[in-house]
Amino acid sequence: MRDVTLPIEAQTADFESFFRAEYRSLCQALLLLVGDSFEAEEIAQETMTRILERWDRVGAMDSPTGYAYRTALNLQRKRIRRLAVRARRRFAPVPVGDIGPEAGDRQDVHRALASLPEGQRAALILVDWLDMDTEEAALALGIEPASFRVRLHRARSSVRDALEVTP
Amino acid sequence: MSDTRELLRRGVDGFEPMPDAFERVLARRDRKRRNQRIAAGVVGIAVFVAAVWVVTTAGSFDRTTTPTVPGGSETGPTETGPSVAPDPDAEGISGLPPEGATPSTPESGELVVELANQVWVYADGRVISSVYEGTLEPYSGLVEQHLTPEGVEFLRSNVLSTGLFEHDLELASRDNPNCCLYIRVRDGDRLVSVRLGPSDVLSDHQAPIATPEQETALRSLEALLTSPTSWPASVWTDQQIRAYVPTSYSFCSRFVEPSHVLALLPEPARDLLGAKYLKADGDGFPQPTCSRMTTEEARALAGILDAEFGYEEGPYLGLSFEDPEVSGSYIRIAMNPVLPHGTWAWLAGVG
Repeated sequence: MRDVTLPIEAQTADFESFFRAEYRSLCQALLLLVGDSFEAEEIAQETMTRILERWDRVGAMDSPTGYAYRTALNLQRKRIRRLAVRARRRFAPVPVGDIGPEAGDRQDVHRALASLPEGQRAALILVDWLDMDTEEAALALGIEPASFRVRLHRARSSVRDALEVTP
Repeated sequence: MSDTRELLRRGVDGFEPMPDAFERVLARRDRKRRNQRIAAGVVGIAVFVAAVWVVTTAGSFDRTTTPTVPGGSETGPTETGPSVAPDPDAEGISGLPPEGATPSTPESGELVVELANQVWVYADGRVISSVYEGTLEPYSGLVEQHLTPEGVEFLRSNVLSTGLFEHDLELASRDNPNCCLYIRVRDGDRLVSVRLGPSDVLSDHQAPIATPEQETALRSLEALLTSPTSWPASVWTDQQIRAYVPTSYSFCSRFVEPSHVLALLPEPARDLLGAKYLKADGDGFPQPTCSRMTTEEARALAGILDAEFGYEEGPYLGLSFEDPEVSGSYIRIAMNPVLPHGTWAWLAGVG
């Protein structure tokens, strides 16, 4: 761990560097995870707010990025719970306004991801989108690396199968 | 770069975060700080009013019987689950308690105050809650603390002093989109409930609209019950936060016949659940598509499901299938920890 005993202003500046480096990737990963750009940004915003509130500790960690994704995944689970409480569909459809030249492709990918169990979806995104190694990703999900590898293999197979049959 | 990454790239093409994202995070942080100060003020006022009320009415709690506390105030801290420190790096229970963790005792308890899905207060002094979620990462499940008999009465009297708990009541919230607030409190030998929420989610769609005073009173109670750190130090026998270790778990599916769910599960899971689940009588729970299992059975089932499907890890032990008979629909099963008053904490989204 590095020493981060900085004054508040310096901590905010330090956090801003982290934010600028990680926010876009976090949003993209969450978009793949939840399938809705508004929800993805909402979770990313809350994740970064929580990290800012604890930057004195998080900034001192060896991997603040890993902490960010772990926090985001926890928030995503809570979001699913809230959706269930409100008796809404578990996986929100892509908003009607979310159209454009890439929207067809994007929706195919989101549909394929939506067909995966939550844990498989997260495994796929952590490794194949965020380039985490399997040990690090297993740690982020709080499961054994061996279980993680099984999960990742199934997720890759399912997504490839789904996208091959999607025109 | 993997092939899968190229496939995934199609899922984010054209997406860009909003340009003022950083400024919005700063504003969000400031807004949260302000709301925390307001909540602390509301709780402080509520605690002060309650303290005045307790002092001025001391000895006259004869509206109901005082909750029985085995061992009384001399009961020491109950050693239950592993201690969970409020440290983001703390190790804690994720989904299932570690093997050998001691279940919370006693196994059953008389519910005195409940804020649905968040806080349960028992006559034996236990406070089981999910209010530390997000602050005890990676652990974010249920935790347990212990109150004195006076502490239990402090919370009970705070709820009753609103005057809203004379009888079961449903109130439609005016504009508040936050769904829903459900509080129960023991008054003698009965539990009285008040539910606040949008009229379309209430069982009585013609429920009266809450007055601003009623809504404020209920929100103040919510703030009080979800802020245990603000309760007077004298209410605690043991403020140490420990993971709540249940004795049993529920296993539920919703709107789906157990036989249909069983047919989708791997054979070892069918063997484990078997005839017990097929009884479909709720196994003591009000929902007929639920069954009760011991923690060890839940652990075994979670292992089977994880190996087969990759169940949803974390404190939410659940699993979603796409129903092969209905395109695009999901079957969701979940295991939830059972609470001392016999129902489960609704963590996994099925109830």
